[in-house]
Amino acid sequence: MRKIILAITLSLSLAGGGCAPQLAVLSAVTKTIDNPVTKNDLFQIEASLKLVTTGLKTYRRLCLQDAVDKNCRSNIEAIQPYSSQVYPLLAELSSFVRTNDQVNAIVVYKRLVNIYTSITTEAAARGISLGV
Amino acid sequence: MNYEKIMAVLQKGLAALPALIAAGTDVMPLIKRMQAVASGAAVTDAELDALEASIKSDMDEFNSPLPPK
Repeated sequence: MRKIILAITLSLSLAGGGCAPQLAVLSAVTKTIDNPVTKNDLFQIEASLKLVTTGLKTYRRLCLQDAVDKNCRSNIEAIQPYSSQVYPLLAELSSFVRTNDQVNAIVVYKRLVNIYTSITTEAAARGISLGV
Repeated sequence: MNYEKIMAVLQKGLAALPALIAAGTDVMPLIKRMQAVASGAAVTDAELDALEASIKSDMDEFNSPLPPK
């Protein structure tokens, strides 16, 4: 049990910087208007997000098996308003990067970073260590 | 792109690998690929498509309403 909790904590922290297992890299990728988002950048963002979403999915599965903290259901419901925005924004970002629409790509990129911050802030307020 | 920061995050990921694997998650291939891309390897559209589909699947599951207890 302790191992599982540790794994979740680490995977979440990997995503956030770690929970954002993936979102961690996202937070590290600070773009400016003069810094275009390339396909390689998009891959790093998506791979980071994948690590985070893997951690979140695992947390939910363990929650449904009563294998993590007793507040996990309310924790999940508190994060969902933010996590539900992740994929739509990512799809938009991908589309803009693939068509080289850099102005909109950077705008959406910043919105994704804000969502990431909201998720990690909400998680921290609920005692979930995201490692950020 | 700040590769120094990305590499720092990758290092964190590598340090967390044993625990992730113990939880049944094999993230090594993805982390190795991230390292390769950070070193300049080309990314294909098919690769991005697969990642996006996988993230969507994860998020659809996580965001679905919780069943009654």
